[in-house]
Amino acid sequence: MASEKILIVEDELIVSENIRQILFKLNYTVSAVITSGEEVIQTVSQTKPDLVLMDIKLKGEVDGIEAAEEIRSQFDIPVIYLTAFVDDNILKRAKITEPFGYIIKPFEILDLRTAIEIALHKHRIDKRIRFSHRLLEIANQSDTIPKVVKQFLFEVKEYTKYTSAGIRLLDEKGNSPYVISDGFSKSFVTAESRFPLKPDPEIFTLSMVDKNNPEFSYFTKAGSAILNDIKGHIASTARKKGNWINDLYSQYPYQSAAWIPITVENKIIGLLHIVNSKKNQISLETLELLEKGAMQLGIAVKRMQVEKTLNQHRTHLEELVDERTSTLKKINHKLEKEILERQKTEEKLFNSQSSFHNIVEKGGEGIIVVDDRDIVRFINPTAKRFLGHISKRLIGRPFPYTPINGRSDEIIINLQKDATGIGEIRTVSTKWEGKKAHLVTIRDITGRKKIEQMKSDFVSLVSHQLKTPVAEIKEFTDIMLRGMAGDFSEKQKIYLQEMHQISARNFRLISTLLDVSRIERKVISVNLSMFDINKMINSVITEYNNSIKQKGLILKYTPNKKIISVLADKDKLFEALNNVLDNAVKFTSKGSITIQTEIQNKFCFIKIMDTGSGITGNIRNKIFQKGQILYGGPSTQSGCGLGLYIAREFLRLQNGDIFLDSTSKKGSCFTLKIPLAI
Amino acid sequence: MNETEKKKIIIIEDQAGFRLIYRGVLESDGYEVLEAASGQRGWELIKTEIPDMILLDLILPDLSGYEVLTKIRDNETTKNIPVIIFSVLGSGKDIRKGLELGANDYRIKGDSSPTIILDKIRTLLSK
Repeated sequence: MASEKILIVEDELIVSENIRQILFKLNYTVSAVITSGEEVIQTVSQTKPDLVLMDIKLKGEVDGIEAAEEIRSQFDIPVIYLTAFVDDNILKRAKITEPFGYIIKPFEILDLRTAIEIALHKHRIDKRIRFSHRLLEIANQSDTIPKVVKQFLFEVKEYTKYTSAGIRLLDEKGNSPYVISDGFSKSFVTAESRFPLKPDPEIFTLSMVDKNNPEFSYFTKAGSAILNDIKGHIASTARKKGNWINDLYSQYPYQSAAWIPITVENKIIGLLHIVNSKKNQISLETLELLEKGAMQLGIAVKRMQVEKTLNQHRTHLEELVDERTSTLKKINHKLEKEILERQKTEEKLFNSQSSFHNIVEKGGEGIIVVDDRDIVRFINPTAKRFLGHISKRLIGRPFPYTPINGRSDEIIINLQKDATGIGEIRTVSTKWEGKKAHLVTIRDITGRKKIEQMKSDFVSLVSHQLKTPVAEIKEFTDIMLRGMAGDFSEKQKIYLQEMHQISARNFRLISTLLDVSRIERKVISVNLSMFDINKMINSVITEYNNSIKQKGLILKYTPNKKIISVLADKDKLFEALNNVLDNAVKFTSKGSITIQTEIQNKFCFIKIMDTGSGITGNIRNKIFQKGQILYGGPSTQSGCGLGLYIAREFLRLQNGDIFLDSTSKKGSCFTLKIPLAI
Repeated sequence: MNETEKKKIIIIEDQAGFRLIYRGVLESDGYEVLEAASGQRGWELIKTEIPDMILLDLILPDLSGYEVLTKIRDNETTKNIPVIIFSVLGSGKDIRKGLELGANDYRIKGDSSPTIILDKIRTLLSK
């Protein structure tokens, strides 16, 4: 071992020179002599001494104790105090800095030597203990294998000051997935990984050991090996063929190397390999420490592998236990148990289709499968969340909403925390285990609903505000047309007439929009009363007499001789009838419009048939939807596409309905269904 | 018809256009017309003028038409004055409420002509 470097901090030059000479005689190297505490940190970091001799009383701001404290906090270097007197107070302060010794001035040569050797030895032991302790700590933590190995290497580097190091590890199957190195070049790692994990005793035979200098190489019982003079070794064994050490190291500038197999239960699972570019860097003592460390690492790796497997098993076991528990709970219900088991099989099948499974499990849409007895057979997490408290365990139980194929409805759903929202629940028919079932989907439409509500509120507000001025214009033109504001020329009268009609049309359009808004906000009230349908049909017809005559159409209507008493909302039925008749007149350019009434099964059916352009194809299915503007009539007569929508909504509100029967060439036939008052 | 015999009608209506129309129609038919643009002003005018007839809008600043009507019917001196509600609101609910509160008639703006209202007023005042 090279002689230790010692830093002297002493402000009295005579004393420091004396110490320097003594140390020289004792074969130590003096790295520097400084006189003040302020210089200590910089000097230590530059010269990296192995030990510091520190005078407690120093000139300047920083005394020896403060300087020692700084060394302790920043470096791992032992400090010995030199002091001329021992004051209790100072001693107390000095103690805190964990000094490695005190030397009381004046001192003998032997005192100094003993103190230094004890300090260095104590420090080495401390370091060793700390190192072993650290390795044990690393080996005991639960982290991923590569992370643990990296920390292990870091500690080894701190301790051995190696140039480069690497660890190869095998997994349970004997593959070598981990090659973690610090400082090795890529080519070295590749070349090295081709060699066996265990240093071959054949190669490390006694013949390889330099008999004149036995400290240069070792081969231990644990199977580790050290070469402390690689170049010398290569030179002495150059002729031996197939010597992998020679083959590998002749290309790299390493002088010392150690190979420590990582063993678990007498099985080698890896290799720790450290090298140094200088000769003689790895002592047998270090090797022993590394062997212990490697053993701990081996155990740690094995433990982490086992933990990983255990975790997988545990997760699986928990799943099994969960399933088992729920099965047991249902043991009293034989039938339900059967269903559950079938469902489990189904679930397993489902799980195997992992990509599809993912879509179902993680999609934002709630998905539930309900069988033909309304029992829930499958439910995804989103649906569970939507249905919230009522669905702790829905599978095998009746579904709380009656599924009707092809229907969609709105329900209250649970969102995050305590918030609720609106969900659209839809049912389509599907098959489950070869039997008919319902596929129920729940979609969160809270946002959409909010926007619709805002739109609807806005429409309502705007409608009211628009209605007032339009009504004003209409009435102004009305009194002018009636001559109540003086005389007008014929031309002016025609213009006024036009203005009057436009405002009347606008007024109706706004009223229609208001109706739609009310339907959508569901703020519409229904006032049912009994009345004779014949009278109502007559009053609707009166409104259209003029336009029917103008178009040259024939209206065929024979009122029923009997009073047909219906139970309906007068206003809304009038509106519905009016809208259907309006439609018929608009789209019939020649021919007739026929109105018939008949009674069937507690309902009155009113048929309104025309000889117009009829309704075919795609439009047929959408005719009662909002915004279906029909073309074919003169453009000025095109409506806003809301008439039939309102008609159907209004009729449905009073337990009625409307149907379309149309073949394009023969015109359309709308049938209105209204409950009789019995 | 001389000044003293002229029947007095108060129009409570916040839309200047409607006030203009009905003032014109009613004055040319020989009535004395007073106007108020808010429910509160209308009610004060009714109390001081004790008119023969009131034409009442529903959507008004401060007091609504319904509130004014309630005050009219609750007050001994005004409870028998005929009131015609005249509003852009026209749902069955609105109409029912108006009639239940004691309106003599209910007309929907834009759906009827000024002459129809004039006829109504004539009928109600001739009683």
